[in-house]
Amino acid sequence: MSHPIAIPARSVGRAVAAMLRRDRWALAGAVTIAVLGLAAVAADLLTAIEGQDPYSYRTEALDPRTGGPAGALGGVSGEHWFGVEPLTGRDLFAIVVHGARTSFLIGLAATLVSVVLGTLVGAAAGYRGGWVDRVVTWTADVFLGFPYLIFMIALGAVVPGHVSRPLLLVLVIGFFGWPSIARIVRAQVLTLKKRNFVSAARILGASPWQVFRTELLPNLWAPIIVVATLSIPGNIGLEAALSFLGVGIPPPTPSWGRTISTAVDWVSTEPMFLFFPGIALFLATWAFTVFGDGLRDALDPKTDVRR
Amino acid sequence: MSSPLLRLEDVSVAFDAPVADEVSYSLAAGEVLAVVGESGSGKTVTAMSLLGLLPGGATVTGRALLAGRDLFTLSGEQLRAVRGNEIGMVFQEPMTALNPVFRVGDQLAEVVRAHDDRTAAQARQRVVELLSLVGLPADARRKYPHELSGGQLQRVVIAMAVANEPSLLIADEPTTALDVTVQAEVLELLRDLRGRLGAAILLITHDMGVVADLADRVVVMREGRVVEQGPVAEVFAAPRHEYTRSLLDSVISLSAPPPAEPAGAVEISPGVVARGAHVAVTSPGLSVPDRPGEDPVLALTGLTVAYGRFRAVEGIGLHIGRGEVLGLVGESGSGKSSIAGAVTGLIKPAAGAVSLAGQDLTRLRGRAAKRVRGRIGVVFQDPASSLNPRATIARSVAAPLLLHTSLRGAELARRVDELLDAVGLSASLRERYPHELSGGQRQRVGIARAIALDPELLIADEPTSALDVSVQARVLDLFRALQAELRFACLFISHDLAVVERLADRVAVLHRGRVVETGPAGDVLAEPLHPYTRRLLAAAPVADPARQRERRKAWLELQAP
Repeated sequence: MSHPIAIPARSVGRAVAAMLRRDRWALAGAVTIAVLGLAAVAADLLTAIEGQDPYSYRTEALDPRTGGPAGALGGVSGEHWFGVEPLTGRDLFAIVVHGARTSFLIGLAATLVSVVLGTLVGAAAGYRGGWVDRVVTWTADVFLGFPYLIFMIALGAVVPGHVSRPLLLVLVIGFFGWPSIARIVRAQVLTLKKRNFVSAARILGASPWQVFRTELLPNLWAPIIVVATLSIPGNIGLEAALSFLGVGIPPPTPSWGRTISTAVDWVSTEPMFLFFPGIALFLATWAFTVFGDGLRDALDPKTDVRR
Repeated sequence: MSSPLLRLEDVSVAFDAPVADEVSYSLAAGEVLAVVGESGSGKTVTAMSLLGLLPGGATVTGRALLAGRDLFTLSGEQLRAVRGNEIGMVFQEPMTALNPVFRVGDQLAEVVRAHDDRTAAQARQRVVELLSLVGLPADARRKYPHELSGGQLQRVVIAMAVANEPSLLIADEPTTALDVTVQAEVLELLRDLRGRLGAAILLITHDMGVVADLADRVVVMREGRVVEQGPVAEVFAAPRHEYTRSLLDSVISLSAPPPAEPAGAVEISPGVVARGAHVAVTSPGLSVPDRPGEDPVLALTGLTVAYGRFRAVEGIGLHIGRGEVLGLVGESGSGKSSIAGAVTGLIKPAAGAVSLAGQDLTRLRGRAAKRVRGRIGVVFQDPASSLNPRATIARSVAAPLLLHTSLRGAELARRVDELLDAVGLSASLRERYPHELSGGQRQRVGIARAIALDPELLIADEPTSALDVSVQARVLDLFRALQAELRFACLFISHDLAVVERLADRVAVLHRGRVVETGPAGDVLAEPLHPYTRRLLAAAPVADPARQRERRKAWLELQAP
C-alpha cells in the first residue's frame, strides 16, 4: 500500500538541491529570482554606481520638442542604462530596480501573511473537523469566488490617506490569499490525522497545539513551501495590477505596475518605456512560477512517477 | 513430468538493482506450485514478469516457456492474447482489482467478450455459469463491488481469471487481505477449480499454512534467489536449506488439534454456558457476562460504540487483571478496533464505562484526563504509519516522556537509550529516521515508545500482522519478555489465533460486536464452546501438510449444515 506521504522524509533542503541539479527550468527560475532579488536588495548601490536615483527629474535627458527621451531606444546610454521616463526624465533603471524592491517586498510579505493564516486555519479545520471545518470550508469557498479586485479598489478609495499603503496592500493581498493555502493544508491534515503517529500523540494526551507543532507541521512544510512559492507571482502581479489601476503604491515610490500604466500611453512612440518594467514583471512572475513547479515536482511525491 | 506447462530458465529481473537472480522453476499441467518468501524475496516480481506487467525500467533476462513458447519474446499483441486466455491472474486486494463504478456482471461479461466473439446473450449465459462455478448466486451479477464482501469479491476476481479457461492461474497472495474463515473458503474454491478445470496454479504467498493447505510443490525464494524447491511434504518434513528451516521454525501455528464437539458445559443462565472459568453464549444477540475479579486494571462495562445508527460494539463487558494478557480475537468488522479506540480515548463510546484502576476514563476532563493517558501505552499494527516520518527515532521514543515527565537533556537521552536497549535496538539508531529502519525495527521503536512511561495497561492492536514471519516471531518473543519483566496488563488484539495462543493468559472472542466466548487461553483454543470460535479455529491453516489435511476435513464438516 503506497501512501503519498509515507515516502522517505528527505530534508527539504536536500530535495531542492537535487531538483536544481536535475531540472534546468527550475534552475533558470532560481537564478532569475536570485538576480532580481539581489537587484532589489542592492538597488541603492546599483543606482549609485549608475549615478542616478529614481526621484530626481532630469529634463536635460529629454527631447524638448516631444517631451520624450532624447536619443534612440528611449534614451538608453551609459548614463541612463534603461533610458529615462518621458516628461520627467527620471532614470528608468533606477525605477525598475527600486520597483523590484517594492514588488518583492509586497509579494513576499503578502504571501507570508496568507501562509500563516492559511496554515493555521486549514490545520484547525482538518484536525478539528465538525463545525469548524464546515465554517472554514464555506468561508474559503466564498473568498475564492469573491470579486476581490473590486473590493480592493473600493478599499483603496475608502481607507484614509495616512494609513501606510504598502502595509494595507500586504494585509489585503495576504488576506485574500489564505483560502488556497488553507484548502491544501486541510486536505493534507485530513490524511495525516488518520495515521497512527498522530493517534499515538493524541492517545498520550497531547493538546491540539502540541500535535500541530510536533506531528503535523513537520509533515506540512513541503506542500506549504510549494503553494507559497506558486502564489508569490500571483501576489506580485496583483500588486502591479492595483498600482496600474492607481490604488496601489502611491507616487513617488517606484512601482512596476504604475510605471507600466504610464508607459501604456506612450507605447506607440516610446516602446522601450513599456519594455523594461514589463520584462521585469514578466521575469519575476515567470521565475517564481517555474521554480515553484520544480519544487512541486521535487517535494510532492505524487508527481515522482513522471521521472 | 515429460514437458512442463511453464518453465522458467534463469530468469533475472533488475530495476536499478537486481531483484530476481537466475530464477528457475517449472510447473506441470494441473499442478499447484507455491512460491514462498518474505517481502523483498522477488517472488512477485518474477511472476509479474511472465505477464509483462512489470513497471517501466525493468530489465528481464532468461527464458519463460509457456507450452514451449518464450513469453519474453512475444510482442505486445501476442502477450495480450496470452493474458486472460492462457494465463489468468488473481490479485491480492479484491477491492482494488474491480472497477467500483460497474456492476460485477458487466465486468465479467467484458472479460468474456474480450477474448471471444460472443453475443451479449451468450456472454450473459457464460457470466451466470462462471458465478455458479465460483459459488456465487446468479443475481450477484447485478451488484456493484461495494455491495459484496471481501470473500465474494475475491470469488468474482477468480471467476474473471478463469473466464476463458486458462491453463495457468497466477494467484498473488490471493487470501492475504481476507479473514481466516473466508481464506479457508477461497482456498477450498481454488482447490475445487483446479480439480474441475485442470488448471495449474502458481501460488505466490508468504503464508506457510496456505502452502501446506493447497500446494503440491514449493519453491522457497530469498533475496531474489531460489534457495530450495521440492514437493511440499518433503520440504516441510525435512528442509535442506537453512533458510527454509528457519522460516518454518519461525512460523507460529496453532498447537491444538482441530476442535471437537465440546462436552461438559453447564447452562449457568439463559443462553450462557460455562465450564469453570470458560464461558460462552449459546443464543445470538447475547454477550458473555463479565465478572471482574478484585481490582482489575481495566474494566469495560456495558460498552457500546456506535457509528451513526450502526453499532460496532453492543453492550460488552471485559476486564483485565494486573499483569494479565487478554487476547481479543475477532475478524474484520467484529468491533476489535472500536474497543481499542474506546479504551485509548480516540473514540467516544455511545454508552458504558471504561475504567482504568477504578477511574472512569469517559468522565475525566482536562488535566486528570491527560494524566491518565500516560498510564496507557499503545502499539499499532502498521509500523510504517505509527512513527512520524520527519521525527528522529529518539524524538519518537521521547515523545511520551516530553509530554508527561520533566526529564530533559542528558537524562532524557539516557532514558531513550535505555528504552532502545530494552527493545533490542542499538542506541546508534537514535538519530535515524523511520524510513531508514526495517519493519521489525520500526515496530520495536513503537514498542519502546509504548513502554516509555512504564504503563499499567498496554494496548497492542495487531502488532505483528504487518511483519514478515521471521520478524513476527522475534517481535512476539520480545513482547513476551517485556511483559514478564514489566508486568503490565495487556489488551492484545489479533485476528491470528496462533499468535494469541502464544501470548495470552485469557482469550475473549468477539463476533459482530459481542463477546461470544471468554476463558483461559488453553481452554478456549483447545475446546471451544461457541460454534463461531470452532469455525475460526478450524479455518486457521497450520504449516504442516499432514495436520492441515486433518484440519481441512474438520473444517469441511463444520461447513456442512
